[in-house]
Amino acid sequence: MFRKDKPITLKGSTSFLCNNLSVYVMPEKKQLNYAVVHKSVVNIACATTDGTSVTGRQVACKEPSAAQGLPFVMQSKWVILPSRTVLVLTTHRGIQIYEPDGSAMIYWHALSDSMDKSNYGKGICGAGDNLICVGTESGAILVFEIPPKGTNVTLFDTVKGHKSPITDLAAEGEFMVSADDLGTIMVWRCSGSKFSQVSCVRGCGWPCNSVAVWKDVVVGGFSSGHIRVYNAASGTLGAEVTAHARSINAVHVACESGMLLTVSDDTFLKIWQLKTGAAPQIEHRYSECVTDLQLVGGNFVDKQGRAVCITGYDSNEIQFFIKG
Amino acid sequence: MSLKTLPLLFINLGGEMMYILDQRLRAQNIPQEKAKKVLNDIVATMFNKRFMEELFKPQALYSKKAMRTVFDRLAHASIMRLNAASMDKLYDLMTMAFKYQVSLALRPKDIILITLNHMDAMRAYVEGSTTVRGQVDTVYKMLIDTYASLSNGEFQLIRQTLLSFFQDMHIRVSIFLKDKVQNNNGRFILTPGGNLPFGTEVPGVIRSYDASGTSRNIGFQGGAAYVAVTREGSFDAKGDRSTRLGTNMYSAARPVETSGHSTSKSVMQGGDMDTSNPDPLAKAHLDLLSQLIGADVTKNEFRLNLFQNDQEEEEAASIQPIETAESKVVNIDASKKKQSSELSKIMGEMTLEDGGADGGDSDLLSLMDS
Repeated sequence: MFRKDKPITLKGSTSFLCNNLSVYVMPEKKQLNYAVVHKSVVNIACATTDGTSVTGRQVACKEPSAAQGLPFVMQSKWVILPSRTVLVLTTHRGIQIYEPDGSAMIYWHALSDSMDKSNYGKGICGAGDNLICVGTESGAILVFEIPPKGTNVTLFDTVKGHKSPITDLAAEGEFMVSADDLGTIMVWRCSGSKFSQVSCVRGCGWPCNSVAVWKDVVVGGFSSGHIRVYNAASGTLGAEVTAHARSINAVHVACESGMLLTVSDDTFLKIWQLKTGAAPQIEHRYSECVTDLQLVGGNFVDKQGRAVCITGYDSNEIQFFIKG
Repeated sequence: MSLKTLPLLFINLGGEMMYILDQRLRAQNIPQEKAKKVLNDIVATMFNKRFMEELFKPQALYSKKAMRTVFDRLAHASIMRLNAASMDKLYDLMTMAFKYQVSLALRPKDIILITLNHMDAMRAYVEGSTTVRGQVDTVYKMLIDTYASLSNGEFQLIRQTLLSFFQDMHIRVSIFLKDKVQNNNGRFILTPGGNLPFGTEVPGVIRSYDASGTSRNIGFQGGAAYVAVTREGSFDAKGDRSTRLGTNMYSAARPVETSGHSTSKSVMQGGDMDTSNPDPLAKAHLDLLSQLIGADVTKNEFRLNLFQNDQEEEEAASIQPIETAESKVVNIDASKKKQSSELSKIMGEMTLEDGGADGGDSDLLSLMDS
């Protein structure tokens, strides 16, 4: 169902971090951008849609207090808001917001300045017209308001509910979904300016490394190898899949087709089809073993889900699979 | 990044060092009481109370350079001396062995079981000395106190931190190549199938629930033949760790080789902490370690060789600078490998020779084709 296509070579290897691949499509410029974390650097590959040229760039993460050494980047992700697109980086000490090409830093937020206590940021998503949510090790979700232009970013709200470190955030329409280290998933409704909790599914100790939301379906990828599919409004479990033999490190949904991809330590990329409903369902569609690669990032390139890109630990390639 | 990673990195690298030294001490027919003294002295220094207390405080990992210096000192804490080429090789072997164990660990929590395997072996090495055994037992307790209660999520972060330390290290180790667990490009072979992490399920079932909560199972191809594990490894002092990772893979009859030096020197890419920062904490620990080792040097010193014989060691020492200088050329060759099937066939033949032979020539060959 999928065939392998030509890979893109990055300027450095991929770090072992969950959700370590972000894609930003610029149709008007016929450009595809990919961001992958390498230790304290984010490698950005910028390709033309016809695949004829690829240029590489690096965003080196610097922090004002240079005395503490280079920070480790935990995640990098483009957030596409109706008014503006930005590149968000989280480190083990703070949050940084850049222009989409990584050229200029717009905002910097410190989470910890202590040497022996970390408070990392992990989990990034956009919400509403002009909000960006970032999860933290303390369990709090910080909500920033982004102006259409300029650097006047403000901390707008702090959403509390999780008791352990946030692992991932996702949002679509009115829903924002948060997951944590103990596997707990919470669904929030974002109405204008306030986040109110809609549903909560308690975890059982295995981290939920990656979440996705599509229409009224919430998908969690767990480090036990399970996929679980819930109804967003009620939190009802529709299906549970024994999907992978090792930790699932990333899930992603193609928003126009409801196709789901999962990647794992077990070297497999798997493709599924979601179905909405009070008890949402999932079907297995495709499996591909990527030889000797522990997969840490995966994304559909397009909204239909015709092309898939993945990254793996210690490899400096983004690999592609095209539906055919 | 987890601030609880340093003790695990140090203890496991130390454990691997002990395996290699023990094997070489026997292979070189060092008299038993001397060999015993070396192992005792090193373990005693490694597990010095004050040094361990410093190590277990929450902190970032040392840079690669600082970690290497710590082990340089540690290896020379007794009457044994290693020259630069042997020390390089020792450190390469230690790091690749632990990288392998962390990479292949079924679940992040297994890292504590790997550590306990190393601890068990080190305790056996110092069985004869009550004081050193007492030190080892103290470290057991520190490990259990610090790590036994951590969540899966915290272990996952520890594993990610360790893998970040080992990122871009691709040294080829003959024992791994022969066992077919490493490829010629220095990467580990990850065969799907086999044992699953404790507490997880065999892939291949969709449990589908309807609105009333009744379920039905739908099967799909799980991808490989997996086996669920029913017993969890034990954290007890003499418990069954239920993993082979972290146990001794060397024997006197099985010499170890490395080839194709790490590209880490040329791949710093601004991502590493190495170049930029002096690493104040690591420096303080190093000073402490120097004090501990002190000037307790005796006339009984002897030299240990990590190579088959002195000639090979000298060759290795003379080859390295050239190899480092040409590492970029080597990289280009590796990418060509994919395009030209003929070239890859030739390279395949070269590496076949390298895997089977144990002469000095094959080492040279493998250096060139890495």
